[in-house]
Amino acid sequence: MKKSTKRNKVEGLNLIPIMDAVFIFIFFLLMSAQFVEIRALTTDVPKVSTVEETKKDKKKPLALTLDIKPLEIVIKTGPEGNIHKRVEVLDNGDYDLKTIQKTLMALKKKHEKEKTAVLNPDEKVKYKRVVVIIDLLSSTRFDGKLMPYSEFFPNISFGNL
Amino acid sequence: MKRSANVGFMKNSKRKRGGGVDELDINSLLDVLVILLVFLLNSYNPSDLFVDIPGRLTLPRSETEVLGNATLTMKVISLEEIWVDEVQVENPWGAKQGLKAALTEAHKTWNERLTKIWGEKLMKEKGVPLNLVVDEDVPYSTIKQIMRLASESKFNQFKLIVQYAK
Repeated sequence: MKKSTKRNKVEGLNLIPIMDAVFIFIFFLLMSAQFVEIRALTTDVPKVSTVEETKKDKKKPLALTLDIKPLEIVIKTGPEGNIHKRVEVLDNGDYDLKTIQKTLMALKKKHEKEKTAVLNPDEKVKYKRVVVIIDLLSSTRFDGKLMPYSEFFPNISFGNL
Repeated sequence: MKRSANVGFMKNSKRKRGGGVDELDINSLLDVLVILLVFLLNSYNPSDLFVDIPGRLTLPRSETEVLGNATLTMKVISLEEIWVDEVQVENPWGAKQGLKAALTEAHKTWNERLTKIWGEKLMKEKGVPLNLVVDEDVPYSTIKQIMRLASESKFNQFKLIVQYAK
Protein backbone atom coordinates (compact mmCIF):
# COMPACT_ATOMS: atom_id res chain seq x y z
CA MET A 1 0.00 0.00 0.00
CA LYS A 2 2.70 2.43 0.95
CA LYS A 3 4.60 1.79 -2.27
CA SER A 4 1.55 2.51 -4.44
CA THR A 5 0.86 5.87 -2.72
CA LYS A 6 4.44 6.93 -3.27
CA ARG A 7 4.16 6.10 -6.96
CA ASN A 8 0.97 8.13 -7.34
CA LYS A 9 2.36 11.07 -5.42
CA VAL A 10 3.33 13.95 -7.69
CA GLU A 11 6.86 15.16 -7.28
CA GLY A 12 6.97 18.56 -5.49
CA LEU A 13 6.90 21.49 -7.92
CA ASN A 14 9.59 24.11 -7.58
CA LEU A 15 7.49 27.18 -6.86
CA ILE A 16 10.37 29.45 -5.87
CA PRO A 17 10.87 31.17 -9.29
CA ILE A 18 7.10 31.72 -9.64
CA MET A 19 6.92 33.19 -6.15
CA ASP A 20 9.85 35.49 -6.96
CA ALA A 21 8.14 36.69 -10.12
CA VAL A 22 4.81 37.19 -8.32
CA PHE A 23 6.47 39.25 -5.57
CA ILE A 24 8.23 41.47 -8.09
CA PHE A 25 4.95 41.88 -9.98
CA ILE A 26 3.15 42.82 -6.76
CA PHE A 27 5.74 45.48 -5.92
CA PHE A 28 5.52 46.90 -9.44
CA LEU A 29 1.72 47.04 -9.24
CA LEU A 30 1.78 48.51 -5.73
CA MET A 31 4.02 51.31 -6.96
CA SER A 32 1.79 52.11 -9.92
CA ALA A 33 -1.58 51.70 -8.17
CA GLN A 34 -3.83 54.74 -7.87
CA PHE A 35 -6.63 54.39 -5.43
CA VAL A 36 -8.29 57.63 -6.57
CA GLU A 37 -8.76 57.06 -10.28
CA ILE A 38 -7.66 60.26 -11.98
CA ARG A 39 -8.71 61.33 -15.45
CA ALA A 40 -8.27 64.51 -17.51
CA LEU A 41 -10.64 66.70 -19.50
CA THR A 42 -8.82 68.68 -22.17
CA THR A 43 -9.69 72.29 -22.95
CA ASP A 44 -7.85 74.71 -25.20
CA VAL A 45 -7.19 78.40 -25.00
CA PRO A 46 -9.44 79.98 -27.65
CA LYS A 47 -7.63 80.92 -30.84
CA VAL A 48 -8.68 83.61 -33.27
CA SER A 49 -8.57 82.52 -36.91
CA THR A 50 -9.99 83.71 -40.18
CA VAL A 51 -11.87 81.20 -42.28
CA GLU A 52 -11.98 81.62 -46.03
CA GLU A 53 -15.33 80.68 -47.48
CA THR A 54 -15.02 78.22 -50.33
CA LYS A 55 -17.56 77.25 -52.93
CA LYS A 56 -17.80 73.74 -51.56
CA ASP A 57 -18.42 74.90 -48.02
CA LYS A 58 -21.63 76.86 -48.37
CA LYS A 59 -23.12 75.48 -45.18
CA LYS A 60 -23.02 77.92 -42.28
CA PRO A 61 -20.71 76.81 -39.47
CA LEU A 62 -22.42 75.61 -36.30
CA ALA A 63 -20.30 77.72 -33.92
CA LEU A 64 -21.86 76.05 -30.90
CA THR A 65 -21.71 78.15 -27.73
CA LEU A 66 -23.10 77.24 -24.33
CA ASP A 67 -23.71 79.94 -21.75
CA ILE A 68 -23.61 78.21 -18.37
CA LYS A 69 -25.70 80.22 -15.94
CA PRO A 70 -26.70 79.27 -12.39
CA LEU A 71 -30.34 78.67 -13.37
CA GLU A 72 -30.17 77.81 -17.06
CA ILE A 73 -28.05 76.76 -20.01
CA VAL A 74 -28.35 78.89 -23.12
CA ILE A 75 -27.45 77.05 -26.32
CA LYS A 76 -26.36 79.44 -29.05
CA THR A 77 -25.43 78.75 -32.65
CA GLY A 78 -23.94 80.63 -35.57
CA PRO A 79 -21.20 83.25 -35.63
CA GLU A 80 -23.75 85.85 -34.51
CA GLY A 81 -24.57 83.80 -31.41
CA ASN A 82 -28.28 83.31 -32.06
CA ILE A 83 -30.13 81.71 -29.18
CA HIS A 84 -31.14 78.20 -30.22
CA LYS A 85 -32.63 77.03 -26.93
CA ARG A 86 -32.77 77.90 -23.24
CA VAL A 87 -32.78 74.92 -20.88
CA GLU A 88 -33.78 75.75 -17.32
CA VAL A 89 -32.57 73.78 -14.29
CA LEU A 90 -34.70 71.01 -12.81
CA ASP A 91 -36.65 71.39 -9.55
CA ASN A 92 -33.70 69.98 -7.57
CA GLY A 93 -31.36 72.63 -9.02
CA ASP A 94 -29.46 70.25 -11.34
CA TYR A 95 -29.08 70.96 -15.02
CA ASP A 96 -31.55 69.16 -17.28
CA LEU A 97 -28.88 67.09 -18.96
CA LYS A 98 -31.30 64.96 -20.96
CA THR A 99 -32.89 67.96 -22.68
CA ILE A 100 -29.48 69.54 -23.29
CA GLN A 101 -28.13 66.34 -24.79
CA LYS A 102 -31.23 65.86 -26.95
CA THR A 103 -30.86 69.41 -28.30
CA LEU A 104 -27.16 68.88 -28.97
CA MET A 105 -27.86 65.55 -30.67
CA ALA A 106 -30.26 67.27 -33.06
CA LEU A 107 -27.59 69.87 -33.85
CA LYS A 108 -24.95 67.19 -34.32
CA LYS A 109 -27.21 65.38 -36.77
CA LYS A 110 -27.26 68.48 -38.97
CA HIS A 111 -23.57 69.25 -38.52
CA GLU A 112 -21.87 65.86 -38.22
CA LYS A 113 -18.38 67.20 -38.85
CA GLU A 114 -18.55 69.84 -36.12
CA LYS A 115 -16.54 68.95 -33.05
CA THR A 116 -16.01 72.28 -31.35
CA ALA A 117 -17.96 73.87 -28.53
CA VAL A 118 -17.26 77.11 -26.70
CA LEU A 119 -18.27 77.48 -23.06
CA ASN A 120 -19.15 80.75 -21.39
CA PRO A 121 -19.73 79.94 -17.74
CA ASP A 122 -21.09 82.58 -15.38
CA GLU A 123 -18.57 83.72 -12.76
CA LYS A 124 -20.74 82.43 -9.91
CA VAL A 125 -21.12 78.92 -11.30
CA LYS A 126 -19.21 76.28 -9.36
CA TYR A 127 -16.48 74.32 -11.07
CA LYS A 128 -18.23 70.96 -10.61
CA ARG A 129 -21.21 72.21 -12.64
CA VAL A 130 -18.91 73.28 -15.47
CA VAL A 131 -17.33 69.80 -15.41
CA VAL A 132 -20.79 68.23 -15.76
CA ILE A 133 -21.34 70.14 -19.01
CA ILE A 134 -17.84 69.34 -20.34
CA ASP A 135 -18.49 65.69 -19.53
CA LEU A 136 -21.75 65.80 -21.45
CA LEU A 137 -20.08 67.39 -24.48
CA SER A 138 -17.28 64.82 -24.60
CA SER A 139 -19.44 61.79 -23.87
CA THR A 140 -20.44 59.48 -26.71
CA ARG A 141 -23.31 57.87 -24.83
CA PHE A 142 -26.90 58.92 -25.21
CA ASP A 143 -29.61 57.37 -23.04
CA GLY A 144 -27.18 54.67 -21.97
CA LYS A 145 -26.47 53.68 -25.57
CA LEU A 146 -23.52 54.47 -27.81
CA MET A 147 -24.09 57.38 -30.19
CA PRO A 148 -23.75 56.83 -33.95
CA TYR A 149 -20.84 59.32 -33.89
CA SER A 150 -17.34 58.46 -32.77
CA GLU A 151 -17.05 61.88 -31.15
CA PHE A 152 -19.61 64.39 -29.92
CA PHE A 153 -18.08 67.83 -29.24
CA PRO A 154 -14.65 66.94 -27.83
CA ASN A 155 -12.88 70.20 -28.74
CA ILE A 156 -13.88 72.43 -25.87
CA SER A 157 -12.61 75.89 -25.11
CA PHE A 158 -13.60 78.69 -22.77
CA GLY A 159 -14.75 81.77 -24.65
CA ASN A 160 -14.81 84.36 -21.89
CA LEU A 161 -11.23 84.21 -20.62
CA MET B 1 -3.16 30.74 20.84
CA LYS B 2 0.52 30.10 20.27
CA ARG B 3 0.15 26.45 21.07
CA SER B 4 -2.77 25.85 18.72
CA ALA B 5 -0.94 27.70 15.96
CA ASN B 6 2.06 25.49 16.45
CA VAL B 7 -0.10 22.39 16.33
CA GLY B 8 -1.56 23.52 13.01
CA PHE B 9 1.89 24.18 11.64
CA MET B 10 3.00 20.73 12.73
CA LYS B 11 0.03 19.12 11.08
CA ASN B 12 0.71 20.79 7.76
CA SER B 13 4.38 20.11 7.64
CA LYS B 14 6.55 17.07 7.69
CA ARG B 15 9.56 17.06 9.90
CA LYS B 16 12.82 15.50 8.97
CA ARG B 17 14.55 13.27 11.47
CA GLY B 18 17.08 15.96 12.20
CA GLY B 19 14.28 18.35 13.22
CA GLY B 20 14.29 20.56 10.07
CA VAL B 21 11.06 21.38 8.22
CA ASP B 22 10.68 19.41 5.01
CA GLU B 23 7.51 20.82 3.38
CA LEU B 24 5.52 23.94 4.11
CA ASP B 25 1.88 24.28 3.18
CA ILE B 26 1.91 27.48 1.10
CA ASN B 27 -1.62 27.12 -0.28
CA SER B 28 -3.06 29.85 1.94
CA LEU B 29 -0.15 32.17 1.08
CA LEU B 30 -0.76 31.58 -2.63
CA ASP B 31 -4.46 32.31 -2.15
CA VAL B 32 -3.67 35.65 -0.54
CA LEU B 33 -1.13 36.49 -3.25
CA VAL B 34 -3.59 35.71 -6.04
CA ILE B 35 -6.27 37.93 -4.44
CA LEU B 36 -3.70 40.72 -3.98
CA LEU B 37 -2.57 40.32 -7.57
CA VAL B 38 -6.11 40.58 -8.93
CA PHE B 39 -6.85 43.62 -6.75
CA LEU B 40 -3.66 45.39 -7.84
CA LEU B 41 -4.19 44.51 -11.51
CA ASN B 42 -7.63 46.06 -11.23
CA SER B 43 -6.28 49.28 -9.77
CA TYR B 44 -3.31 49.51 -12.16
CA ASN B 45 -3.08 52.79 -14.01
CA PRO B 46 -0.75 53.15 -17.01
CA SER B 47 -0.73 56.96 -16.76
CA ASP B 48 2.49 58.66 -15.69
CA LEU B 49 0.52 61.34 -13.87
CA PHE B 50 0.60 61.13 -10.09
CA VAL B 51 -1.18 63.77 -8.07
CA ASP B 52 -1.06 64.03 -4.33
CA ILE B 53 -4.52 65.28 -3.44
CA PRO B 54 -4.85 66.99 -0.06
CA GLY B 55 -7.82 66.09 2.11
CA ARG B 56 -9.41 69.53 1.84
CA LEU B 57 -9.55 69.35 -1.95
CA THR B 58 -12.41 67.39 -3.51
CA LEU B 59 -12.13 66.61 -7.19
CA PRO B 60 -15.25 66.82 -9.36
CA ARG B 61 -16.48 63.52 -10.77
CA SER B 62 -16.47 62.71 -14.44
CA GLU B 63 -17.14 59.77 -16.74
CA THR B 64 -14.27 60.57 -19.08
CA GLU B 65 -11.75 57.80 -19.62
CA VAL B 66 -8.94 60.02 -20.90
CA LEU B 67 -5.80 59.56 -18.85
CA GLY B 68 -3.62 62.48 -17.83
CA ASN B 69 0.06 63.06 -18.53
CA ALA B 70 2.86 64.23 -16.35
CA THR B 71 3.30 67.98 -16.79
CA LEU B 72 3.08 71.06 -14.60
CA THR B 73 0.37 70.55 -12.01
CA MET B 74 -1.40 73.40 -10.31
CA LYS B 75 -3.63 72.84 -7.29
CA VAL B 76 -6.33 75.38 -6.58
CA ILE B 77 -8.02 75.06 -3.20
CA SER B 78 -9.25 78.66 -3.11
CA LEU B 79 -8.36 82.00 -4.70
CA GLU B 80 -5.67 82.53 -2.07
CA GLU B 81 -4.40 78.96 -1.68
CA ILE B 82 -2.70 77.94 -4.89
CA TRP B 83 0.08 75.40 -5.32
CA VAL B 84 2.37 75.29 -8.38
CA ASP B 85 4.48 72.13 -8.72
CA GLU B 86 3.89 71.17 -5.07
CA VAL B 87 5.04 74.59 -3.80
CA GLN B 88 2.49 76.97 -2.31
CA VAL B 89 2.49 80.38 -3.98
CA GLU B 90 2.79 83.13 -1.40
CA ASN B 91 0.60 86.13 -2.03
CA PRO B 92 -0.49 84.95 -5.50
CA TRP B 93 -2.41 88.10 -6.46
CA GLY B 94 -0.21 90.66 -4.67
CA ALA B 95 1.74 93.57 -6.14
CA LYS B 96 4.65 91.26 -7.01
CA GLN B 97 2.30 88.95 -8.90
CA GLY B 98 3.56 85.80 -7.21
CA LEU B 99 1.44 83.46 -9.30
CA LYS B 100 2.52 84.91 -12.65
CA ALA B 101 6.18 84.68 -11.67
CA ALA B 102 5.72 81.09 -10.49
CA LEU B 103 3.93 80.11 -13.70
CA THR B 104 6.52 81.73 -15.97
CA GLU B 105 9.34 79.98 -14.13
CA ALA B 106 7.51 76.64 -14.16
CA HIS B 107 6.82 76.98 -17.91
CA LYS B 108 10.54 77.31 -18.61
CA THR B 109 11.37 74.26 -16.50
CA TRP B 110 8.66 72.05 -18.00
CA ASN B 111 9.37 73.22 -21.54
CA GLU B 112 12.94 71.98 -21.21
CA ARG B 113 11.86 68.78 -19.49
CA LEU B 114 9.15 67.88 -22.01
CA THR B 115 11.30 68.82 -25.04
CA LYS B 116 13.72 66.09 -23.98
CA ILE B 117 10.87 63.56 -23.89
CA TRP B 118 8.63 64.61 -26.79
CA GLY B 119 11.15 66.31 -29.06
CA GLU B 120 11.14 69.88 -30.39
CA LYS B 121 8.71 69.27 -33.27
CA LEU B 122 5.97 67.88 -31.07
CA MET B 123 6.56 70.54 -28.45
CA LYS B 124 6.03 73.29 -31.02
CA GLU B 125 2.69 71.74 -31.92
CA LYS B 126 1.47 70.90 -28.45
CA GLY B 127 3.15 73.39 -26.15
CA VAL B 128 3.26 72.79 -22.42
CA PRO B 129 -0.13 71.63 -21.08
CA LEU B 130 -1.17 72.63 -17.58
CA ASN B 131 -2.84 70.15 -15.25
CA LEU B 132 -5.45 71.98 -13.19
CA VAL B 133 -6.41 70.24 -9.97
CA VAL B 134 -9.26 72.39 -8.71
CA ASP B 135 -11.65 71.91 -5.80
CA GLU B 136 -15.18 71.20 -7.04
CA ASP B 137 -16.70 74.13 -5.11
CA VAL B 138 -14.37 76.81 -6.47
CA PRO B 139 -16.35 79.41 -8.45
CA TYR B 140 -15.62 79.83 -12.16
CA SER B 141 -14.40 83.41 -11.54
CA THR B 142 -11.30 81.97 -9.80
CA ILE B 143 -10.63 79.49 -12.60
CA LYS B 144 -11.08 82.22 -15.18
CA GLN B 145 -8.48 84.42 -13.47
CA ILE B 146 -6.04 81.52 -13.27
CA MET B 147 -6.56 80.42 -16.87
CA ARG B 148 -6.10 83.97 -18.12
CA LEU B 149 -2.84 84.31 -16.22
CA ALA B 150 -1.69 80.88 -17.40
CA SER B 151 -2.39 81.71 -21.04
CA GLU B 152 -0.34 84.90 -20.60
CA SER B 153 2.46 82.65 -19.34
CA LYS B 154 2.31 80.67 -22.64
CA PHE B 155 0.21 77.71 -21.49
CA ASN B 156 -2.22 76.97 -24.29
CA GLN B 157 -3.86 73.77 -23.16
CA PHE B 158 -5.51 73.01 -19.85
CA LYS B 159 -6.14 69.53 -18.52
CA LEU B 160 -8.89 69.58 -15.93
CA ILE B 161 -8.08 66.79 -13.53
CA VAL B 162 -11.16 64.93 -12.37
CA GLN B 163 -12.04 61.84 -10.42
CA TYR B 164 -13.28 58.96 -12.52
CA ALA B 165 -16.86 57.98 -11.72
CA LYS B 166 -17.89 54.68 -13.29
